[in-house]
Amino acid sequence: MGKKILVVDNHPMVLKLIANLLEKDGHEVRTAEDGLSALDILKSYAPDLIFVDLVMPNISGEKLCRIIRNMPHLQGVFLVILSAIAAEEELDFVALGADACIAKGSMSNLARHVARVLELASPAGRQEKFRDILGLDEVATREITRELLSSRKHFEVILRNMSEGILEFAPNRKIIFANSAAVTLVGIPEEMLLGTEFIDIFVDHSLETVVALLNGPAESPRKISEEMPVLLNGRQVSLQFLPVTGEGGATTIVIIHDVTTRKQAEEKIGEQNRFLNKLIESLPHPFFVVGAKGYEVVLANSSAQQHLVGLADCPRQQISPAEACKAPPPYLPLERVQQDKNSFLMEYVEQGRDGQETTHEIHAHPIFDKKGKVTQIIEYRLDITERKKAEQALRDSKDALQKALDNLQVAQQVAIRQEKLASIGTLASGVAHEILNPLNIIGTLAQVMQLEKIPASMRKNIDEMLAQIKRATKITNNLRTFSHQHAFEVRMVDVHVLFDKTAALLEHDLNLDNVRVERHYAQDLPRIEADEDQLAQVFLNLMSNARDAMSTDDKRIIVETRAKDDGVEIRFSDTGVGIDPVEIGKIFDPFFTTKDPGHGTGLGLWIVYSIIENHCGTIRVESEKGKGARFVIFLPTRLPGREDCGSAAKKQDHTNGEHG
Amino acid sequence: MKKKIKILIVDDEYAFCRSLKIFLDKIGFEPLIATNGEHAIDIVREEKPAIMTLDIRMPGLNGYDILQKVKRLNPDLYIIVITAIDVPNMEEMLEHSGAHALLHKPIDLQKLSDTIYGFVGHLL
Repeated sequence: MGKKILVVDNHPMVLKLIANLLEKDGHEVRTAEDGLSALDILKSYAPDLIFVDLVMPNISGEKLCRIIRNMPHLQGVFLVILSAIAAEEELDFVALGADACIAKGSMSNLARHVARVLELASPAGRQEKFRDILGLDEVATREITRELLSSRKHFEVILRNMSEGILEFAPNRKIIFANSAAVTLVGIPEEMLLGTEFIDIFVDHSLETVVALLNGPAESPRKISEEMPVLLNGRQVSLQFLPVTGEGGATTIVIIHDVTTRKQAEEKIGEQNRFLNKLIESLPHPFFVVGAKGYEVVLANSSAQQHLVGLADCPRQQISPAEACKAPPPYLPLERVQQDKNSFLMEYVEQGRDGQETTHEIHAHPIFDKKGKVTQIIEYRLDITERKKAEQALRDSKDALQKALDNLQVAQQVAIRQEKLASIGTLASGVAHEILNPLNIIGTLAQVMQLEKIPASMRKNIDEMLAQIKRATKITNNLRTFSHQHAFEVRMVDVHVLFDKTAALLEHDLNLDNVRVERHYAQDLPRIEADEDQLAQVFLNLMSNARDAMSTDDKRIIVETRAKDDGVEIRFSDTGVGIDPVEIGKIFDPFFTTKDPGHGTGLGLWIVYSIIENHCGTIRVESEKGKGARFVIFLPTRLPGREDCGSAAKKQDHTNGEHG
Repeated sequence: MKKKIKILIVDDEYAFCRSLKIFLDKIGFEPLIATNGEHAIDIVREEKPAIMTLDIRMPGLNGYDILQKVKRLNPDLYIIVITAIDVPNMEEMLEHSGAHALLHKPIDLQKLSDTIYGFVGHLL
């Protein structure tokens, strides 16, 4: 009964011979010229016996054997290897899964060996466990073949251990070779991979890319670059296609490079860079990196480019160091940073392009190389102009508050004093009234007594009584003059006119005492807002004081006026005895007097001071014992509310005499 | 005998009224005394004095009140205010109220008699 037999050999003569031999014996014979064709046939054909040539294009005999042995429907097939290099290669055909091996020699011998194989393939023959290579003794050893085989072994070792995947496919794009790396990459067992169409190992978009490439013009170098990898079994791979011209037409070797890890790393770095870029860009303040030596800018965010002098013309820099552009003014103490190697903080005032001054807080952080040398500096600038302004404003407002507080304290002191004055005034006014009434009665009675016929001595006594009553009256009147609680009547007052009018009242007395009044009036002295009566009182008191202070032959009262600031200054000098430095601080105090007991009330200058104060003016005295005194009065042209006066008047200490 | 001119003295201090009465007696007038406002008004109404000296600060009716009341009773009454009060513009104020003269305490009797004689000319 004939057997189904497949003969695979790339040599047509051998194919023909064996086929003829077998068909003559009544066997059904099919033939294939290479491994690929054989695999095609075997998909739908289950022979009893297969002859496989060892050295073949496309899938080699060895591989084909292994594939066949892994095909479930070919479990029982009797596998025979035909080897042309049996003499040179020490072949362990059993290890390849073959049942017998024939060394290719002469055609006549081959026929004999085929017949022998058929015997061995019979159920009886299979018991024999035949291990010899048939016809090995009939072939001679060829040196060249041995060398080629040796060289092939080297290549095989190399191919097996390469990290790149190597695939080879036939013109019909069926895979005919895959090294172990390629098998791993594709993820399909070698025996299944071989014979598979190359493009079928790809899917989706990658499949389209590869097909387009393979269908494209053949001249151009076919390549899937690392930059645009395709997906293979979930890995990103680059592909390099190398055409190989051989006997059975051009095959193509594909070098597969797994770039997944690299791509992932690159992707990660890219992501980090994008993150950092975003981070830097998100900073509203200038952020940039400069070289530690030349201060060249290697990186800058948009804010830095917008705001930094010199950086405006820089192209927008990204994380990766780009070409350095012109540096901003090197206000960083670079040498210090390089030496100290510390982060530091400084303030920097910048003259802007618009001439505006801005203050910046500069944070600098050195970047080191592996040796610990500072190579670059990260700089981060905060515009603290507003903050500085706010701080200044805060300080100013604090100062203003302090000032207000001071003023308030002064005002309070003044208020206390005025209150005291007022209460003293009220008291004085009441006391005056109560004293004047009895004085009035005594006086009237005394005057009535004078109308009687009385002795001269008594008349003299009564005169004295009346003189004393006048004296008491004067003191009492003085006491209440300043305490008048009458309305403060402000008019525009011409100081010169008022002084002349007042001096006229005293003219008679002054003439009697040989006192001359010298006037040095300023021209165009402004009129001032004042209570005429009160001001007249000031002049009266000062003149009367001056008169009393002068005892030498040179008796002069010198009045000088001049416009000053927003008011007038009246200097009132005399050629009198002057004021003792010890006493100059007390002369404005109430009840202070240097006059002999009975000649002064001690209220004259106090009244003067009170009136000037009420006019928001100032008065001070300059004197040297024996050289006269000078009162310097300042009165403002316009009177503010009188409540606000006290502090203004207080400002100038009334006792800061040049000689005091 | 020639009829004496009546002068009313108004002051809450009786001692003053009395001393002034002595003086006015001496210089030939007929002094009357009132130590409060109501009394003074009664006297003006009943005795019809030609001249009146008037204190301002008094308990009860004060000088201004009296001034206004007596002016209604007798617009021709000469009034001399004699006071220990001294406030600015008092003279104008009193003039406006109908007083004819202002004298300050302690009173100068010479001034007072001068003032009175000034009015007497008009009275005769």
